[in-house]
Amino acid sequence: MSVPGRLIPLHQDAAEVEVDPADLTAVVRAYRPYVAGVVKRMLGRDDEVDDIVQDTFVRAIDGLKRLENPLRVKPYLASTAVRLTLRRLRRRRLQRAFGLWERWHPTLLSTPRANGEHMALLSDVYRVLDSRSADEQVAWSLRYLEGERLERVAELLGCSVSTAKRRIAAVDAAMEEAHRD
Amino acid sequence: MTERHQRWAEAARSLEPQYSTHEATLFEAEVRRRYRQRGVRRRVALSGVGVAALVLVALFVPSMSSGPGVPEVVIGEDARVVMPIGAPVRTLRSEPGLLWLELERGAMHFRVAPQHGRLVRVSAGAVEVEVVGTAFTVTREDQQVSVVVTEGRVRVRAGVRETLLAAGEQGTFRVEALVPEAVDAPVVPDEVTAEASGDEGVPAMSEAPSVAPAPRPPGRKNVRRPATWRAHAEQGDFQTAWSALQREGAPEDEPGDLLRAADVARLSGHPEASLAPLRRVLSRFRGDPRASLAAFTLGRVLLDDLGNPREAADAFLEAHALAPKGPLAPDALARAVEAQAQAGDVAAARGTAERFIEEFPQSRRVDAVRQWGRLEAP
Repeated sequence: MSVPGRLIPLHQDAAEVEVDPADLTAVVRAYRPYVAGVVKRMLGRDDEVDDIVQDTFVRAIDGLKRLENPLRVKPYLASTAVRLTLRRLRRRRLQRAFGLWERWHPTLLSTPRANGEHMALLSDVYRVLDSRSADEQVAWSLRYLEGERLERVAELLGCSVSTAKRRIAAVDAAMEEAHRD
Repeated sequence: MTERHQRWAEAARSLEPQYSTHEATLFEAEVRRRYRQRGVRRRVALSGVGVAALVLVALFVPSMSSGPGVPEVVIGEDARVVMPIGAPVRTLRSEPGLLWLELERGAMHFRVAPQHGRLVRVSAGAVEVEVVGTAFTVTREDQQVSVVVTEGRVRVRAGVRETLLAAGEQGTFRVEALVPEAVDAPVVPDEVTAEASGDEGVPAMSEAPSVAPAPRPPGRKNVRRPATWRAHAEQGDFQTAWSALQREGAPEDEPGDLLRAADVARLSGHPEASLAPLRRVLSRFRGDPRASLAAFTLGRVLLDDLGNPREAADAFLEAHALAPKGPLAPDALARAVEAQAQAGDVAAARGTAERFIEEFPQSRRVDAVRQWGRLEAP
């Protein structure tokens, strides 16, 4: 698998900085940008990112105190963030069925560091993802936007590898269909 | 992964946010605030669950623990008896002047219409309850029989003793005549005391005696402060009564309640805890007719339960001294001899034995007392 070099896959925690898991200040400063990035890429919009990231750290506080290995902090936070994002997306999909959640459009996602090409690419991606199920959206995001291995995607989603693969393939097919020239 | 996937990933990388230190500080403060809030919500939720559980227990446990009500036997004016199928009551005699029933086990409430020249008698072991027109409950257990009168008056005969119980009073009696522990000891009939009736009650019964006011009917004044340990004791459930007594605190400072508390302690397996209330009766209510009973019970606990024959001998002698002409006097003096012998005080045992024979030469305990006192046969 070749992944763009600047991406830091979630499973490559051995390369992470070591912080005391019980030191919330250090954990927040070291991992808040990372967690926020993961959540934002999965959601494709800004409006719920802060809430989910805060919730991730709130829920992780007790668990972090029990972690003995500092290298487990990052995957622990990632797992929590994925679980909360998935739950939120499922709820929003349900609300959308009643007309309570708006469809994705470019103004919902701030991209201060993105150039015009990036903005166009992201728009293509999230228009398609927004039409898929929450599980498919998160699975595809983890696989291709975060560069996660298939096994890890399945583990984070709590499903089998074949199910994860099927969900990712479904989004790929939709992407192919949407971008066919 | 295709070229397009790589371009998408590259574009997504631009979404990585950056935060200043100040923002991180604010964020951390917010996280801590939400964490505390979450803890409070959890505790409130747990408290809610706890309160709900307590409410459910309060609603359902009393009805579960009380179980079905005491079954009732109704005896009409014509002496016709109506009772539940399978009731543990059998008719011993039914004739114009007497209807005699026997309660074989358990508890039964009797409601007796006024009889015309007919006596209604209910037996439970050696205890007989005779009525003319009244309502009462008899509970027969392994060791004792309790009689609770709710209407009218009854006469309870336990051995040769008789006690009148009025509405609102309860008596507890030995189910069978007591067999003293001393060898070859004769059977001593049970006796009862009257605590609240003011009738001819004479203090003392050689074991677990008490006649106490039962919960009075509504409208009657001067009701004893209710306490669940008393109710359990009156039901003969001394283990529960003991637990309740621990929660509810000390008994009232009056002989009846102190004796009842002592009974609860010793019959629930806490003989050492019965010493204080018994000694309290002896120190504070020495002139009370039940003081002799308290001393006798104290002697029994010390000798039989706590293995302290020396102090037991003193208690038995005190029981005798408090009521030298009372029904307990022979037993008290005989057991004093026994205790002195067990304590190794041969001389005292001999002296007390001689005194016993002098005071009660006709007692069937004479032979046993001679043995304990090492007196030669006449």
